[in-house]
Amino acid sequence: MIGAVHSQLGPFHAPHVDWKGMSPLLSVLGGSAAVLIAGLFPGRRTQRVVVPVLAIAALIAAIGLTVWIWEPGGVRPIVAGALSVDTLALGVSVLFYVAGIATILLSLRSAVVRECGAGEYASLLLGSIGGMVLLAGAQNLVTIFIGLELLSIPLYILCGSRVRQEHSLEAGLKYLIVGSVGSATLLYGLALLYGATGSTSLSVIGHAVGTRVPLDDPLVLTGVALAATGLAFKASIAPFHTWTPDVYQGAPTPVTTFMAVATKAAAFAILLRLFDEGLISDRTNWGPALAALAVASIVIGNAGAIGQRSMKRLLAWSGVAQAGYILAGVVVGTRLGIQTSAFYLAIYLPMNVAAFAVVIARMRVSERGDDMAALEGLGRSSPWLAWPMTIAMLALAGFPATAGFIGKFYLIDATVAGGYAWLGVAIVIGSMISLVYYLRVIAVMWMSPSEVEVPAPAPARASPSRRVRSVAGWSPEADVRAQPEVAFVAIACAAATVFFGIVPEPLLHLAREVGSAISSAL
Amino acid sequence: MLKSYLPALVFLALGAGTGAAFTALNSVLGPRRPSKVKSDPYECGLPSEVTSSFRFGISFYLIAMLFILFDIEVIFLYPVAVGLKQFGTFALVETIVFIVLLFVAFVFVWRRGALEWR
Amino acid sequence: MTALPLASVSFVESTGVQIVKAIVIFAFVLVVVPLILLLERKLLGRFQARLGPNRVGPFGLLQPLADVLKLLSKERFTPRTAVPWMMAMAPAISIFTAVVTLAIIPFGDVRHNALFGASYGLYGIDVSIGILWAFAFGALAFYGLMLGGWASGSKYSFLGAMRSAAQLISYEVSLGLSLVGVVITAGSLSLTEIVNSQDHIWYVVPQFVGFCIFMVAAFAETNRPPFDLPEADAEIVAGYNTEFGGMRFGSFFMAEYINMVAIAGIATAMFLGGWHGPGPGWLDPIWVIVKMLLFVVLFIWIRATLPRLRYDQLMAFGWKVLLPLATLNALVTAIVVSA
Repeated sequence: MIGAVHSQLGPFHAPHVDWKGMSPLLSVLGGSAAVLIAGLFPGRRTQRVVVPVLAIAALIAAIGLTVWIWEPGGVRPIVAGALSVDTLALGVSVLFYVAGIATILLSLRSAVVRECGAGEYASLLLGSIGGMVLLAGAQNLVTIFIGLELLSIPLYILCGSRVRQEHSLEAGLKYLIVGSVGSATLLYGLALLYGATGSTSLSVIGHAVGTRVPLDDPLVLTGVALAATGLAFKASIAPFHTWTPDVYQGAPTPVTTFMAVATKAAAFAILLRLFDEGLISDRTNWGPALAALAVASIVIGNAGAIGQRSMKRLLAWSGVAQAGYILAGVVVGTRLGIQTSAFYLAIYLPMNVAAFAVVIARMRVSERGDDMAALEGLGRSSPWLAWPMTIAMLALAGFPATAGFIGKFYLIDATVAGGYAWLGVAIVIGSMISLVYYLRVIAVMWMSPSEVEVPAPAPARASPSRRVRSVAGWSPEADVRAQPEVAFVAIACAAATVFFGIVPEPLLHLAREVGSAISSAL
Repeated sequence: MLKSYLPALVFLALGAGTGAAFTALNSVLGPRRPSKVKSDPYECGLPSEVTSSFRFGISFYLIAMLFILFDIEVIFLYPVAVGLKQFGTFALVETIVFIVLLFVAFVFVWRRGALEWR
Repeated sequence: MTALPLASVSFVESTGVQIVKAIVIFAFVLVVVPLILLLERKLLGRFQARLGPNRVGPFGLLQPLADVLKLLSKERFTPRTAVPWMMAMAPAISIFTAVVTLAIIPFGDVRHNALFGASYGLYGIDVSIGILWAFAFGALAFYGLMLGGWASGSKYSFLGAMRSAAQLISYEVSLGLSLVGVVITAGSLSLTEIVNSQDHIWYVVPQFVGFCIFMVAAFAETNRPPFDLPEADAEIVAGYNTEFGGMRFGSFFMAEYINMVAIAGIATAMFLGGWHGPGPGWLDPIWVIVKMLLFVVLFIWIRATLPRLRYDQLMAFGWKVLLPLATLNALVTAIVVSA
């Protein structure tokens, strides 16, 4: 019969999908869909209780599943090798989950949630976390890009989610434009890497560069440079940091908190993956370049932070400097370097979240917003907020007996051992400069005359009663009692900072296990 | 293989030819008596005050965005649909997950009122 | 044969035959469209208890010809607010996309012809993307309406264009989804293969829901009543074609009828078993034409029966009823076929 030939397919083999290994990711993404639907049900109770509880439940479930599949040294290829779950991916993703929980707690009473809807807010946040998890486990250039976009796009929206506030919209738009430039640059770089090596798989690229493909192949070099630039945008590494202060300041503060810790951790996870795993053989070429970026970040970040009055901008600039420190661990490319990077990312979370939590608590009650003046006399008026801020500042500066000290100590150790002693020197000098502005914050809190801000009883317009239950007979601890979850986050994070500063061993042990995931490291 | 597209080319040519001919024929066959009033746009007799760049309802934009979302659903479903029998359970489960996710989006869009015409 | 399913075409004739059969199908439709026009006016007349055209020629048979001659002898004018080259392109695009869609309608399977001693496929093309071809050009047809309305620089035209844009894209999704069920059942996109797989049972039976969705969406896609809001002569004075006259107006008009024929052909192939029917093999194309004619009469009947929808009803129906129903249909079909 000449008639229609029935199309014949070869036998179809479904790709191997390791559902167990993917379960944390599925939990987060499923939670994202669930809260979106849950947020649709009417009623204040849904918006204020059900949705946050669901979101936190999804994140806690993800943490539980992560602990369940945690297996030092084990690598689970998932979905035909596009994704792998190893201790690096799992360890870093725990940071995302914790940051997510903190963000949801911090935004419980935030105006963002009311303006853009609790369901949408939590769903976008969980979606972004899903992208980060995907990014941390990416074994393939395509997965990297998908993860990065899934991470970024919800964040663009979240930054602009206070639609009635000009600065929020500005932040969203700026982040969108700059972030898109970064994404495009990264994509171009990845495309060139693929062109040079003929594969999108990181392991194949790793084997090809230096054997099949010469180390100084122009395609590889251009690809590496563009990819590094694109990721530097996301990690806010100087000189690609220019968006950071504006966006951090304009975005709703809980979102800023999330971006400051989670996005940074995700960007560094993929930097570690791409450079210390995929392109480790080409280290002689990218090492000096990334080292230069690290120094630039340390110098520019610390210099930029000195003159800041706005706490959010100050933390943004300090974030740039801290990115420089962490990048030093990536640069050295040794196992020690990876471990210290992972360790620093882990301790960076509590110190930063503590600082942001205090800023949020103050912004809700003080008319001075995120200006440093809002912290004046905080030491006397509400020590429960002043202490976490103090600890956070000291830790960021790298004072002994805080986790920041241990982190920097190991970073310097790694740079010296890895042959980048001058980078270690840069970290030390940078930390010394940073004392100027970190200590200034502490001075403002403890040394200014306590000008207790008694909310004027008359102007009802200014009373933020909806957000913060107005407490009759305002007392110094009122804002702590009125927003217990914010104080809880601040105190818990500060406690963690001190705890890991004194007893770093458990976290160091975990960091070692995370570092062991990258076998190609020197 | 490509040769089987030859009639397609013929149809393309026929379609383009017919369209062009119908469009142009009046210029050749018809009379030509232009006047001021004739070249006014028809607005039921009132003088026209409308420029073609006036603003119009946001609903149109919403519909256009939703269209892209759901048209991609259709585009993704077709290749799977052709081979669903061969692909077996794996593809079926993937398809169900895909449709359920889109359904979530659909419910969201509906409840948030993007489908109400305003 | 190990060709990929998306790039295999079953059968190819010689070059000359291919060109000839394309021209034959085109000529056939070009002849049939005026007849459908007359049929519509006659039937509408009967539905409304009057006679319809009966002056020009026997039974008014020459009426369409007279209409076309009248349109051809009109003056071509463009409003001064218009963008002339776009106004010229718009009707051409409409006709173009309508004609090109005809290529995939199968009138019969590949069969050996004893008279000419060779085998011929009774269709324009049988590409394996099949039905996607129709969707591709159906989507392009949108530009005809949109450009026409926008380029006229008149507010009624513009409103009509916006309406048709929103309407076309809203129902396009359901149209596409309604056929997914058929494609899953047949396991192919090629229309001839889909018809061949209906030799036991026409898909209108197992895919009844899909059929209903397809028909509703098809009415909307061809701008036929009760979905003729883009033209809605009573509210926006014929919408996107307000400013068109002469044969340019005729082009839009004709494109609508060619689209109707094309949709009828696709519906025949997808749901009514195409050329399957009792009788010897040479009856195949006749069966297709009869079934297509049935659809055309349905189109006309509905026009005479149903009033025009309100615009918000139209949108709500497309998005809130048709789309979920079509999705559900595809899902259920997928589960039933796989299980």
